[in-house]
Amino acid sequence: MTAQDLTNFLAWAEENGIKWDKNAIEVREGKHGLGVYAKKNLEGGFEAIQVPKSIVLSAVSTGIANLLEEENVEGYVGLTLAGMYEASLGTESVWSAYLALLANRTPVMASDLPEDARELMKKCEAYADIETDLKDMQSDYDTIVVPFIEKHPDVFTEDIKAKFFSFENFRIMTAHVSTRAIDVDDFHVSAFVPFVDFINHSSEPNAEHLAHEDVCEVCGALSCEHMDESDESDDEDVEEVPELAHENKEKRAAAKKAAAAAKDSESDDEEDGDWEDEDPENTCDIVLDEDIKKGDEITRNYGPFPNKIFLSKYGFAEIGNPDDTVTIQLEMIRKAADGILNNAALVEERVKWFLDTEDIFIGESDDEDSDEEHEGGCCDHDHEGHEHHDHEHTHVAKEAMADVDEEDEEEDSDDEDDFPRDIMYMDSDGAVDDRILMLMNVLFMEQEQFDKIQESVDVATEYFNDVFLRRDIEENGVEIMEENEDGTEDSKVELEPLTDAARQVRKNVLEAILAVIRLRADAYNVTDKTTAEDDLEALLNANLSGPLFYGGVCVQGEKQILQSGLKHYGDLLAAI
Amino acid sequence: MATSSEQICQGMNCSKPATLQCPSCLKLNIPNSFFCTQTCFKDNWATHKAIHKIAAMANGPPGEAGGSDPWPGYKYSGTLRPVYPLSPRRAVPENIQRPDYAETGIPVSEQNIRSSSTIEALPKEDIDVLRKVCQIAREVIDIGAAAVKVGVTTDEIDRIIHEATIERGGYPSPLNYNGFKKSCCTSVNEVICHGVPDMRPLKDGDIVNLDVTVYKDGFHADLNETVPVGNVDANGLRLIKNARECLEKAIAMVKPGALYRDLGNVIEKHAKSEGFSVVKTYCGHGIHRLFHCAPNIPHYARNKAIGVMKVGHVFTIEPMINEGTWKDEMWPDNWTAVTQDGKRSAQFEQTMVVTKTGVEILTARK
Repeated sequence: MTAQDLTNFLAWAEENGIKWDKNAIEVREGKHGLGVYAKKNLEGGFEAIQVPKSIVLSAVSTGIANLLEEENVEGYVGLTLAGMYEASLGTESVWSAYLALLANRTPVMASDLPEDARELMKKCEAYADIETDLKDMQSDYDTIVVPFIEKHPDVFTEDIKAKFFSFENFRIMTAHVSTRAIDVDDFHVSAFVPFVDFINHSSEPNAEHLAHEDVCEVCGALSCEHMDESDESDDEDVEEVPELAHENKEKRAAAKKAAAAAKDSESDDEEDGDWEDEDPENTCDIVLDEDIKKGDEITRNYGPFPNKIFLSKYGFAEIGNPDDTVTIQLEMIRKAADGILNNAALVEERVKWFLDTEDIFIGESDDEDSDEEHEGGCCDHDHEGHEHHDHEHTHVAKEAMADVDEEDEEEDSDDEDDFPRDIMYMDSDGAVDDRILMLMNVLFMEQEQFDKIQESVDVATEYFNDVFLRRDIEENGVEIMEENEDGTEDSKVELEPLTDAARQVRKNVLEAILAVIRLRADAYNVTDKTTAEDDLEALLNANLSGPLFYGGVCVQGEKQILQSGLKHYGDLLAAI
Repeated sequence: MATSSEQICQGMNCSKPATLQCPSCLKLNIPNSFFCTQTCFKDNWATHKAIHKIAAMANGPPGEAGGSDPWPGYKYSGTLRPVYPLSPRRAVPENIQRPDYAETGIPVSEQNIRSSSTIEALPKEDIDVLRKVCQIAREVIDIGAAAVKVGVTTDEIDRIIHEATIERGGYPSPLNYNGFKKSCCTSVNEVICHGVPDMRPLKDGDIVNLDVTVYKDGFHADLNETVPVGNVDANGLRLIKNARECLEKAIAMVKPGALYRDLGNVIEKHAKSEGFSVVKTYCGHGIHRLFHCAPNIPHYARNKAIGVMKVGHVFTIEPMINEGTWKDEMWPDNWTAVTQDGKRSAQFEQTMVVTKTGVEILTARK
């Protein structure tokens, strides 16, 4: 029952050096379109798929790479244009078998829904994301794609333009890019990785995508003269030192050579496919994290995204997504605090101090990241000479880091060091994030306390530590142990009872948090007594599918978070 | 010397166990060239590499025609042998403008490029200069080709090409490019490309490719041709003719909007039609102020080269067509590329510029 386009693709994949064990895994249609499934029990560590980077389709590997580079068309538009151009070549394209497969499987996106269906999501944050995507898509088409095409009439003739570069073509390829593109490395950046992109998302994945990211930005190689140059440029009389070789590797090569010579010239063609794979480690791999059973789908985690991102980017959402969030704008906090304090100047002063100072208290983990990155950085020049298992270790270490980076980037938006300061979050369990909790305490602390923490970072750190400690123990019921100074057995940390003044601060903080949540919740008519749980059941029984269903999941998830938040903070307030 | 099952690193003051070996020593069959790590190997390279020269001087059986084979023990794929010693480095008059690698051997400006997908489109003024340099290169190769006959050494051809180049105020681009020792490449029979001119006299029935690049007024101009020596058999002549036609057919495709990666389809189709194969390791290249730059132009079919041709792009097409296998290997000099089966290889090359209407072959014989 394998479709012809899939059969063609698999033949193409093999010709182009994509490696997979046909007895171990198979590609077939599943619940979420194409997926990759185990044909037998497989062990963790198994390399399920290896795709040489030479067959990755990106803005730097497409035929029009030089034009995209000249016009500075990068990012998703660059990749979308690359995909559209290759698709316009039909069977002449290097990627024709892959693109034909995509052409028959256009993803259904939330932005494809008719306006009235989208309106149903209006209260949900996803709505704004989707509307923005739609507007951006039109504006990118008008201001980037059309001028680019007009500028190169030799490449995009009138006929080609009309047939392959309409807004509709752009919209469809954008959907492919959005749902399929994978961050490959410093050279390709975001790209289509045939076969690897059949792996579907799961919040409990059994595999991960590994690729050396640290490649030459000029040519994409793991090591080359562009990269060496910085090390050696000071040296006079530099001479290239060859790579050390394994004797038996040489012997094997010699034996292979002898065998090849013995064969007739026919066999040459058979090896054509592998030829470009001269950098055998420079691949995109899918590696199993754990043992899986025959019939299991191989999955990976696309990232710790909230549902609105899953919906707008991939066209699905997850029920009970542990990474789901509700966004809280700084403005909402200002408004809620002012409602209680009636002192706009004070609110302004303290918000400003918090925003200017907060990095001191939350910056530490970032430093650790960059340290580790140095250690994990592989791809030094002794690549080929290494034992294979050595290589794998660096591979994994590097990737683990890459994951962390990705997380930071996604949550903190575009800039690595910076993130939108005016956006904060409620987590999937309804709790506000650390920044909201800190800011609320800063807003409501007594002036005397505020003077002290302004004066001393140590005092401020201690103050916030205490806030977090209380949250962990009182709200989350965590038992915290501490070492006794006299060396006896560790004992449980006991909280000192709050002073009256501290109790008042605490009360105000909780009230303000509730007020903030209500600003969002009222729009939904959510209270701590509503039943988001019933909504979920109704949604599941409504027999919806595609983005309409997932849009419902988004809405329900948001309600659930708001409801949980109201209940949680309401209970805490009542306990005071 | 005692043997031990455990190999010890040959690095200075290092006695760590080692399993990796120097690749040159392996090629030359020099035993026990073990090093513990690439770093240790690199640190000791300056002293270690002398071993290769000693092995070369220690000299086994002489090569053909009285000279010496510098790599005794090396298993050649065909019958051709290098004939050393090479002549001393030829001088270039002080007043001739030199490319950046002339002294150091390192083409720094080529390594400093920011992006491999940028293909420079040259303005008319640059093309005008380049056209003149290309015509000088054409004159030089014609002089070199006229000197090809039975009994002439490739070193002599190199001298003639070197002198013709400097007489015209040019620098012979190959000289010291990444350490290349001569002023042109002479690729005989199974040599695919980058043959180093040496003391071997050309023999009746040889085919030899002369690859000439001239640097003048800031630009490089590159072309090559394969010529028969004396009486070449029918298949050799057919190979040469096919290689020339491959180049012509590829050039015919050049025009604005064409894809660089499509050139290989035409070349391979034509080569295969006569039972020949196309070398994959070496490619045509962009050329102007840099000897080699983007675009990269493979000559084989279904390649994934990037780039669309635009007016002002300057590059070479230089298909290497083989009698037998397309597979190549390298002599221990790290330059000479030969066919793995020792069968012959022929090549033609021109430098050209994309024009509004198609192409201008800058190195064409006027």
